[in-house]
Amino acid sequence: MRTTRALALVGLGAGILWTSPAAASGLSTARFGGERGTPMDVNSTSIFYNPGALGSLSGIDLFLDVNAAWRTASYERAAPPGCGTGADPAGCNVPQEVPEPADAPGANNGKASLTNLAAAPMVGAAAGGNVSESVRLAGGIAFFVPFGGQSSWNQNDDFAGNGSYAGPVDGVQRWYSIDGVLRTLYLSGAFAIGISDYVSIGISGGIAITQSQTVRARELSGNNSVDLEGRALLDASSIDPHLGAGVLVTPLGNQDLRVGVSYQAPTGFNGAKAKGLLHRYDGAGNLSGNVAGTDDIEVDFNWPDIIRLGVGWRATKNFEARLFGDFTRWSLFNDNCVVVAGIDCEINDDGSVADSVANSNDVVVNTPRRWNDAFGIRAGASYWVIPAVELQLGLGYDSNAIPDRTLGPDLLDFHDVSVALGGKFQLIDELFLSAAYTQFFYIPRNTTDTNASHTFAAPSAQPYAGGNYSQNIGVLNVYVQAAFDPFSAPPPSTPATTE
Amino acid sequence: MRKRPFVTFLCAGSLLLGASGCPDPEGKFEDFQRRFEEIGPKQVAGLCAAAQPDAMATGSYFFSLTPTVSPNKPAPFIADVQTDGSDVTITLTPVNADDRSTVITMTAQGDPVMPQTFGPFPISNGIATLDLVDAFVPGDSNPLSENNLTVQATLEMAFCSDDPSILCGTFVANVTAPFALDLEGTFAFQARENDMNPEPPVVDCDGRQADAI
Repeated sequence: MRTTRALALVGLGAGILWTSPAAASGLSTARFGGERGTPMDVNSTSIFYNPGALGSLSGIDLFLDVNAAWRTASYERAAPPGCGTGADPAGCNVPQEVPEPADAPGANNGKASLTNLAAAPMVGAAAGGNVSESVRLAGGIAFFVPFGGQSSWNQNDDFAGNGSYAGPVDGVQRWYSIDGVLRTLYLSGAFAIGISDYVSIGISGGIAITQSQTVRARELSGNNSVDLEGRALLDASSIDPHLGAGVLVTPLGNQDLRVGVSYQAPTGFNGAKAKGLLHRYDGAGNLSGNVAGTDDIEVDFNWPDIIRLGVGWRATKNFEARLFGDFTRWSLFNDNCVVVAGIDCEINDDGSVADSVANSNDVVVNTPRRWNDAFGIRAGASYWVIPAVELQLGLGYDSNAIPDRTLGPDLLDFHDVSVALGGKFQLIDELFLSAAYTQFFYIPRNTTDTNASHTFAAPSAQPYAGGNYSQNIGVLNVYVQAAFDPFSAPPPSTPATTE
Repeated sequence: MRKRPFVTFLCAGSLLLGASGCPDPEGKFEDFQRRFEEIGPKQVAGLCAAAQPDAMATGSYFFSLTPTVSPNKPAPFIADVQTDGSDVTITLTPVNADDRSTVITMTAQGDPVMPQTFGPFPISNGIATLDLVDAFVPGDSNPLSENNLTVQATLEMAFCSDDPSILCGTFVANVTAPFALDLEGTFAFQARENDMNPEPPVVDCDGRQADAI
């Protein structure tokens, strides 16, 4: 167990997660279906948003969707009082803070930024039809990405080719994030039953693939010493079950008024434990050959559960209004704990390892998240210029899941307002094309005086992450939908006429 | 290690859409290694050039903890250093600061003084960070006053590559009892030969010595 202990003690903890182009609270990225991806719309996206809605489906629905997002973000950090460039470390009384060297101003303090593009596909198919006058059965399968994202921070050109320090070129945010991908992919199936014309219920389930590959700067004891910094690369994944259920009510007996409610259980129910490797490269002076290592580790990801509720009302032949939202229990996302493979992690409120863990050294590092529950609400409307052309407008708000005390450049969240504009076009009888652009306006955050990432006890202590955060995201959603009903009775044929 | 995990699959999708800024964690990890190796060995301020020790570094040392406020008169200890090359454990027995030879077994108040063990602490590249929690310094070992002190100290220690008999570095400390006081300074462990204490002892990585008794 020497390797095990060395790993734990060295504490070259992994960067756990990476900033996502989250288009809702927390790490939620589910925007597939655009303005028609709701708990009360009936299409293949219902497999995630509300499997109960599938019970209203008649015919076959094929759905191919792409969300393409651009994202800019910035993090600006100032040295805490007494910890400025070249300051005497003894006068810097901020835990985990080491003044940047006099010959490296800007190594840890200054502004970091990123400009990224990302894309997430969704593909689904669903079919439904009457099995009796009052009972309809439906099912479907889909692949989509409900959580996560990716980021790559810009380099700090002031340190390109620096002859003394290998680390600062990766940016002042590098102690939390340099490059990374975190996502959960769902391969999901759903089954629904429609009872009369008023109610349909359904369930969904399948497998969720959680993947994390991240790299960050890391110093042995968790501080931000430019002299001693190394790198930690985490590469881990897991496959877990997921489950959801929902109900769609149509009080008028048709699709003019639809009320949908659904519940998506946490991925893996009790969280996902990703297995993988931690690659570490120590930076303590490059004074011997023992600078690198790789160890088997496991990482805890406690994904949230989600409750969705929505109402759609086709007020007139040409106009429909929608109001829907979600409540996401991000409070489940409390600690990202990296442990020696085979060990269960338990962390106290102060960040220390709980007594229930037999050997605290088996907890390599923990990143406290301690997120809050969050919600989003969206209002939308459609206007049919002609039956084949639907114009869409949407407004939304998402609350912030990440408290100031644990906000870091690796995972960002803000209060945001969104505006969406798009249209859905019937190309031929069975084929539709939809395109909608959503602009998210994020309210910048200043956590200079409120961040507490550095105050947690080992192995949860991180460098101070206070500062100014900003972000902008735009999402273009495009999908092609084929909808047809081969099960319905063909229209009566016109009798041949004979002279 | 340059396998292409599945996570890059979706990034490839974004590239099809003309994306930039595609994450490459493995690439960034390897870029750092390359830069690090190009820069070459460097010496951390306040430490000697270090090398990973082997089990031969285990032994009895004379430990001089020298706060900047008492640069020529250290707090002395006999230190039993145990290492297997990957981590280090130390056991400290306080010594009288005035004669640097009398082992202190009792405080002036009559309370017994027991050796204290700290560690194990990992050693990486010949450097270890030692967190001495609730270290007790009896008044007779205190170079500043006759107060018994309880200290929380963090030592950044190097196993010197050019002289394996020396372990040295810098420290920061908070005295938590009987009063609050912040301290900083240097220290050195010198291997004891035939259980003899060096005189005067070395007090930092530059080889500076304390005043002779």
